Amino acid sequence: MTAPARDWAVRIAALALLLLVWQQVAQRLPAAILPTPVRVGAAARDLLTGGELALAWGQTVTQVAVAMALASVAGVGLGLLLGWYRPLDQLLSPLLGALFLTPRIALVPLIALWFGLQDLAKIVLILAFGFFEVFFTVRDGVRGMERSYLELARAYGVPTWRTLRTVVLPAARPYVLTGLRLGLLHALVGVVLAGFFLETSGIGGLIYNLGAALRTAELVAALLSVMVVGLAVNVGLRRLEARLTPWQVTR
Amino acid sequence: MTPSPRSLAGVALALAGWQLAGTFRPDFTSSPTLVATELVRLAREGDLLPLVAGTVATLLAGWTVAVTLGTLTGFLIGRYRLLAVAFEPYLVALYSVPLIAMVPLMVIWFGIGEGFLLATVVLATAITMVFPAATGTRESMRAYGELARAYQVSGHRLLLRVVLPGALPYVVAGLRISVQRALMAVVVGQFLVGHPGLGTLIGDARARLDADEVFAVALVALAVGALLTTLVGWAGRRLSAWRPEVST
Repeated sequence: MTAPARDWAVRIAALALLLLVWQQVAQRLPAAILPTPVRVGAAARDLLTGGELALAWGQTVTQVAVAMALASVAGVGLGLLLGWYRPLDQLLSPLLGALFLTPRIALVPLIALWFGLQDLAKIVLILAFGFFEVFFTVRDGVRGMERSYLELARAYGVPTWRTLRTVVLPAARPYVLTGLRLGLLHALVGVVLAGFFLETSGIGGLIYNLGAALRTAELVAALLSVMVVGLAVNVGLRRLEARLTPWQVTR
Repeated sequence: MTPSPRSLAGVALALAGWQLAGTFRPDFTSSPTLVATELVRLAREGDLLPLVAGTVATLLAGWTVAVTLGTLTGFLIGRYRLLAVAFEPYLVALYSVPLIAMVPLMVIWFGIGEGFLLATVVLATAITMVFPAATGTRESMRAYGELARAYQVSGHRLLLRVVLPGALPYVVAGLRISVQRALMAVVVGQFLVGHPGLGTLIGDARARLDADEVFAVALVALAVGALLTTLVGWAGRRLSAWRPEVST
């Protein structure tokens, strides 16, 4: 066997072992505490065919799309601006830093006061989770870019606007992609918490309701769906990064 | 690091703007003076300080367990290739999912008491330490492994005297991220089940929607987050002052 094939055999064996242990432990416990993998599989099928999972994710996906569109515009815009223009960075960074250090969950009351509990409030909460990863990655990327390019542009009298478009933007592109991936992963935390603490809908709301009803097998199945989405986002966007900006080593 | 005049100007400008906004719609934006009054009231009548102190104590207890578990796991997969091959993809998977979604399952398993909060912090936080510790272990073994073998250092002496000190800068870099996640986890847990602490302060503010209280509680959370991050950063620099800082 070749080395990668043997590695995969080891991995699959490890997974099988984990599932076996889970099955053995779960058989000795009440299903409300820990359902067996087989039961979770059946529950997943029920959630899928009953449409509950599709409904919840459908509500969530729209909110995430709007929030991430806003997060990328604001995060990339501010990141470019503050990374490039130091005085503005010094003016605004303490405030943004303070907001970043606040556990985002503490913004829930403020969001409820200003935006209610419905879709708009949830979009704002997801935005609060997604924005900072985009902003900080882009700002630090622009700040760390090769200064000699900028000096060269200035030496040749290239106008500010063109420098931004032809020098800064291309240099920032890999950071934009990385920032968007990290932001989207973070936004998933916001998605879940929005369902817990704002209106109980979407995938977070579904998880909350299943937990409250002690429907543990369905709960675990819903949690697994969150894991699959998180993993798909991470792996998919990493691939995209590698294809669009192959010269960049991804974080 | 001393703040630049511009940074101070930015903060002053924001505070002035906030105070001005408060004269028009205090029910919507509150104002710095109203929030200060509210903070004094919360401290006098609302048990603000004991609640925050209790939350921080729970957080630190859970965080200590999480850091120990995560670092140990990281050491194991960094040290033994077979374990890395078998489990690293699954650990990476756990790293890229919102583990905070597991809180309802934690309620089913641990109830709504102190044990539940500790379990939640450990679950949400331990994974952040695994990869820094694994990278640190690999780097440390790459640099000093041969030397250690030549001097026949092995077993727990290898771990304590060679691997851990060598991995320390990486572990320290992971600590800052992990303490922020731990704070989030404990607050979410308290908020969800109504266990008294910073989380219930946020829950009360969310229920009453009084602007002064909403802002006061957010400021308290900011202060706790900033304090923890600063302390961990300071302790980390003290611990690994003799080594270059790394970022992960």
